Amino acid sequence: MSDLQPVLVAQDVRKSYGDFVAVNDVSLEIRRGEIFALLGPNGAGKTTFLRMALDILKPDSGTLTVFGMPPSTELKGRIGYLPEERGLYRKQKVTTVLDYFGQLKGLKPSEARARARDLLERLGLSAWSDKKIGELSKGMQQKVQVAGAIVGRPELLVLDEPFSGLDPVNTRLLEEVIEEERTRGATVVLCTHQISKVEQVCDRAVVLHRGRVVLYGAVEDLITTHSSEAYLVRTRARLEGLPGVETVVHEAAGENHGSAGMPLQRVTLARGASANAFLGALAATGETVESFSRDRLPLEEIFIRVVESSGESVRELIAEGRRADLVEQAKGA
Amino acid sequence: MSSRTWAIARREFLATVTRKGYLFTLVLMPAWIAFAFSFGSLPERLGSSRGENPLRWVGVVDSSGALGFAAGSIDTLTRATATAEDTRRDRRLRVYVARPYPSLDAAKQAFAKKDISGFLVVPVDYIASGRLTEYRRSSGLFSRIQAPPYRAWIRRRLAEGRLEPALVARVEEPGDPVTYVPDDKGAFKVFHPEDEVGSFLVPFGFAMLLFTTMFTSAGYLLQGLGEEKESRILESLLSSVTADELMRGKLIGLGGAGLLMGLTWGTIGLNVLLFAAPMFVPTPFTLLLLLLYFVGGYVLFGALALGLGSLVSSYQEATTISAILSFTAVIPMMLGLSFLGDQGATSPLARFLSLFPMTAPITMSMRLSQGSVPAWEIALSLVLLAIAGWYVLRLASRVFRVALLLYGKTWNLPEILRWARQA
Repeated sequence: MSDLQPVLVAQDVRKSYGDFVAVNDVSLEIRRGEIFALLGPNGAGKTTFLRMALDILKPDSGTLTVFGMPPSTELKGRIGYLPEERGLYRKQKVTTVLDYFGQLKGLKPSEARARARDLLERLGLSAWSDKKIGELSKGMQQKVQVAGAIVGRPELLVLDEPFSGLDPVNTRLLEEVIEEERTRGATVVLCTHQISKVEQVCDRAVVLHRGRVVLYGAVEDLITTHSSEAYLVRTRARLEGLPGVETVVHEAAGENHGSAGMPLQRVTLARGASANAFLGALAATGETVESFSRDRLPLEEIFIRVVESSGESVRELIAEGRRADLVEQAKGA
Repeated sequence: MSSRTWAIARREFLATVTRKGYLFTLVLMPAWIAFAFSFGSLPERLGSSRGENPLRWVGVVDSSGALGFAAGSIDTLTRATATAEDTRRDRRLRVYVARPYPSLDAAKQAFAKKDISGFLVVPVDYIASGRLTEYRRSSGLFSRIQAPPYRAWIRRRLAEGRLEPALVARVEEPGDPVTYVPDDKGAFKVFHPEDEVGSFLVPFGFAMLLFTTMFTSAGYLLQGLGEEKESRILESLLSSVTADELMRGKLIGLGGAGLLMGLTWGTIGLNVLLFAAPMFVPTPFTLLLLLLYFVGGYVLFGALALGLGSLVSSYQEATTISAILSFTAVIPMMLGLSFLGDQGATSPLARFLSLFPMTAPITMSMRLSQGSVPAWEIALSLVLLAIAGWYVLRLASRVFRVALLLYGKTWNLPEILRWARQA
């Protein structure tokens, strides 16, 4: 999907508020045309990083370029942003607000009006275009906010928690809109706590913790790298004793059983054992094999394990995240 | 100026001038003033339209006998008598006719029966004590304006028969001097008594106009910013524009709304002056100076409002700041009486308030509309106002940039000064 040209490059970027280091020597790049996930608990430094990319804040050190240039006013027209802190003019009409956002992105008034009309149509809000924002439901306001982020046809679209407040139907609609934006040529940065969504729609991801990068790369690679050397096999064959097999765990009957009660077995191979050799031996047993797959860890689980490997419990992490979030918010991060 | 700044200015202007509160103020204020001015003469107008008799009967109980007001006689309180034409021309004109009563009780009975609208009691020892007692119906604050002219009548009654008629007339009415005052070139000109009211009201009118327009705009700036902070829309805006563009756009847009209000009220006021008191109509140059003081004052107070407004988290906190700012500017109006008038206008206090940027616009609007102010004072005052406006704008812009995304943060002066240095 992406053409590998970087749209955003951060090299050792650092930002502090007094003694509190919000972003700690972060290096990453976001490539043109990809959907990139920026993840981390509250207070990890995501918002500070985004604000630096949007030229709302300046980094203390390191280099940050967007479209090959340092963030500047001129670039703001090329970036669409849906902040986590939602806000609209509640006493103004939907079209008036979108016209205004379009004009701030450099569109002519007539162009902004036409674009706003198209977006409202796409998001199923045409009937509410003349209503005041305050009269809309939370979900509708959320969609207007999304429309405000993309009204200027941005080349880089940054969406912070875009799915919050949306029902499943509108979540699906928004996923389609994000995909359409990517198809149009936009690079999308997705900041979300819904990590399952990241696995579905994102090409690459970075996970920040305490302002530092703790995971970074293609989503598929992250999952593969951090998943165990275990395989899930749905078969009646007895797997113990097959070449390379170290342990076999039989999943409890019922929830994980496939068709006709086919049992699910988790097989861990010995270090250096070949999966191909194991699969060949399994086929030789003559038993039906309904499925064979790598035992993938969810990204969220990987994140938790990476953090816990540094000696922190998830509970501490969450508590710390909350504290840091408060500090960050207070410092204007 | 970027197109984004103009887009912000346009939105702020349109969002403000279409607010119900703004339209209400724009229309209601002149209507209220018109009502207040016409209200004073309303009873007379109503009385006149009903064909009310201008003749008023009053009683006199003269126990001293000093006035020689014999029973059965009547006397007008003023020597001159008004014609029907006079009373038609001046609806406030009353002709008071005095009737003697032998005792206080008799006068009270006549008063109760409404034969007389009031009465005067002259005690036995009047010549020695000078004490008099008056009874009347109205006790209102302004009822004295319509009180019978007893004093002049007593003077006449005391002098009549004791002095020559010409002297009696002068005792009754010694006359008012024609007053001369220096004009702009130092030559004397006649000062009309009605000028006194005008020279008080017109400067206050201009000061009020400037104050209201300046602070309506600054108030809307604070209100808008407070609402934007509360609704958390600022982050969306700052992803599209810089803090400086946002600040400039707001200042221009809301300044335009204030100017529209000022021009509307100013035009109405000038037309009223042209019709009612043409001598108080300011020259085009004075109007230009008033416009400059509006712009300078608005930039100064508007920038202060935005700088301070960016530090607060809600509209409520913003209104407190607005009240403090407007109190500073209103000081000249509170002290106004002391420097209106010939001596006061050139007093050290008037000069200080004219040169101090926070009070200069209101002070100068009062002094300019009252008469001539030395050119050097105007020039220096405008230069100081411009310098202060420029510095406050820069300072506010820096604080605005840093503080805009602060929510619920407590701050102190050293911190603000640090932001101003670092931003």
